[in-house]
Amino acid sequence: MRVRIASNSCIKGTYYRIVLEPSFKVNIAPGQFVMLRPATPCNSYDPLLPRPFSIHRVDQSGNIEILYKVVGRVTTILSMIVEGDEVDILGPLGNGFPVNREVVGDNILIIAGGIGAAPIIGLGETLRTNYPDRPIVIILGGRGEADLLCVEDLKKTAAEVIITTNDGSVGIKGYVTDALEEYLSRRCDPGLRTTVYACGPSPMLQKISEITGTRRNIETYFSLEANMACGIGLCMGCAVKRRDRGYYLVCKDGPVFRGDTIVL
Amino acid sequence: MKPDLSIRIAGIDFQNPVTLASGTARYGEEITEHCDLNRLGAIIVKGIALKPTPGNPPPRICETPSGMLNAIGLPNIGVDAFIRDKLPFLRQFNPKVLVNIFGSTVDEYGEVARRFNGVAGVHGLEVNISCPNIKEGGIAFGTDIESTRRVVQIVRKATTLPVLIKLSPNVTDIASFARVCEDEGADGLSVINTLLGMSIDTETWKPRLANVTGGLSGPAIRPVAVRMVWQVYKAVKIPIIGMGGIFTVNDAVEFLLAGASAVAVGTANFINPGVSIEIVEGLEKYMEDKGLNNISELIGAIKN
Ligand SMILES: Cc1cc2nc3c(=O)[nH]c(=O)nc-3n(C[C@H](O)[C@H](O)[C@H](O)COP(=O)(O)OP(=O)(O)OC[C@H]3O[C@@H](n4cnc5c(N)ncnc54)[C@H](O)[C@@H]3O)c2cc1C
Ligand SMILES: Cc1cc2nc3c(=O)[nH]c(=O)nc-3n(C[C@H](O)[C@H](O)[C@H](O)COP(=O)(O)O)c2cc1C
Ligand code: FES
Repeated sequence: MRVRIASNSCIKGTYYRIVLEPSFKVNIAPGQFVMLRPATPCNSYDPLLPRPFSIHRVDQSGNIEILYKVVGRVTTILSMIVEGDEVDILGPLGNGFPVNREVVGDNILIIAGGIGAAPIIGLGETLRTNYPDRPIVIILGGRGEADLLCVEDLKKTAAEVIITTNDGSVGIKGYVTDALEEYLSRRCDPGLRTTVYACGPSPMLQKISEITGTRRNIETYFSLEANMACGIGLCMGCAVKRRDRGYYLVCKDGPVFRGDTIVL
Repeated sequence: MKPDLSIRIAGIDFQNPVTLASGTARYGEEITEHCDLNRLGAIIVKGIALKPTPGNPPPRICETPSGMLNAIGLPNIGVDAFIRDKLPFLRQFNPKVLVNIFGSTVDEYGEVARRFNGVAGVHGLEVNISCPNIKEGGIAFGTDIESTRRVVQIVRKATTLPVLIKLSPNVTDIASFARVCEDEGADGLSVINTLLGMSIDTETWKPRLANVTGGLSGPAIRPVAVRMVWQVYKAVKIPIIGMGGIFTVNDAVEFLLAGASAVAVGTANFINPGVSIEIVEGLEKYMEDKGLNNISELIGAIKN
């Protein structure tokens, strides 16, 4: 589906926000994504494949907002396109974060690293609306101050936002996982059910898995990344190892998975 | 008068020459939301073996200039599950169903082929010979002329269905492989499978695919594929399904002119899952514009 760009601008450093104006109505669950490919002013075969991006939010007028970090070919091209240009999108795709009663615990913990902040705003808002009596704690981390996104928005949805940076420029010096260990050992009642949602680089998710795996009453849900070609289950390129046997497809079976069902 | 796009290939009647390439539309289910299957000539399903196999560890794919590398590793649900769980879905649609089969030994090819005899809704077999021969050091069947011969012989004996052999491009003289297939009774050829390739991340010094090497597909391989279709067309009489980087109607016409009787759309489905229908419509318009009545007027019509 070809859609028009309503705006595209730098948030800070290498992070950008692009706003798409779809001609159709979109209903999304937080954690869903779109496959996106620049179409104008130049539609070429190089780069060839569309790329997956989480939907950050859908605003009141139905526009789709995406936050992205410039890391390579497509994101560099994206950063150069302007209002009025067009992109091809497919979506919303995949299964978002589960927010039903069976899943959501008494404590809610949301962890995001870097661009992983993009999908969790919507998740925080949904959880706060559906479970106003349950405290939401968000741990947000990045390399430095420049890698912390959406801090003000997150503060509005959470009872508490814990910030970590590797260089110590703001918040606690260290990783989100250091803050997680500290939080679980000192402030989290092991008698209560805790649900941890996380989005970020694979090593971060691995470490969260290790930390939470040794504790009782914690369930984790991870949003995974994978190289994708199609985003809809055609190519079987986006495999992630299942704990029992074989593989899941991140695009179709995920991108959100229960932590104990996969091997990172 | 509307141009006639129908074509008979290997004894199978296609309503038009546009098909979906094996491994790029699974068993048809996921793509239906984006692509009106009923308007295609045929669907070639993802490779099926005797027993289920899980496929390779990730990363399985990466992008390369105007193409992609894949080492999916032929994940497959096995012949029984395919017939029981997937075929009933495919039977609801007009297009012919070609089942892509593979094995790790010559005997396994024969056994898989045999299982499809008399199975309703299967119109032909496409034999993938680009996979490793486990008993003979892992060399791909399709890159060794005697292994190719034995696979064609055993499949031919095992089945009454039309048999198309899918040639590997990773050979010096593809025409000689095509001749062996024709001699051993193949009804048609699919040309080409992916080209063996490799890519290394210069930051991490690691291969970009867990399997190290993978198959190259997409527009990057199109000139190689067109050349091979043309060489095979000149070498044999049996019909060819041409494929390799077909993204537009003009690409499809190029393959027909080189000698293909039909085309398969592969990697392009990942960029636009509805593209095959655009190619069907484009072909109709192309023929009208050129004043052609029958698709056969294009086949092998290159002027040289
Ligand atoms: C479900 C899902 C949701 C996603 N949501 C977002 C999102 O909301 N915002 C966003 O910015 N990104 C998101 N991503 C990641 C995004 O898809 C990649 O950053 C993008 O594909 C990079 O494309 P490129 O052409 O710019 O880089 P390429 O040219 O393909 O890669 C350039 C280099 O960057 C490396 N690279 C690729 N991906 C990443 C990455 N994620 N981080 C760091 N290095 C990388 C590659 O290994 C390569 O070395 C998501 C991924 C998935 C699977
Ligand atoms: C992700 C992927 C999976 C594939 N799986 C199979 C397969 O299971 N069996 C097979 O014979 N060919 C398989 N192929 C090869 C294609 O059917 C086709 O021959 C090749 O990709 C060239 O066409 P294209 O450039 O249009 O993709 C696969 C190709 C890709 C890209
Ligand atoms: S990206 Fe193609 S199957 Fe998931």
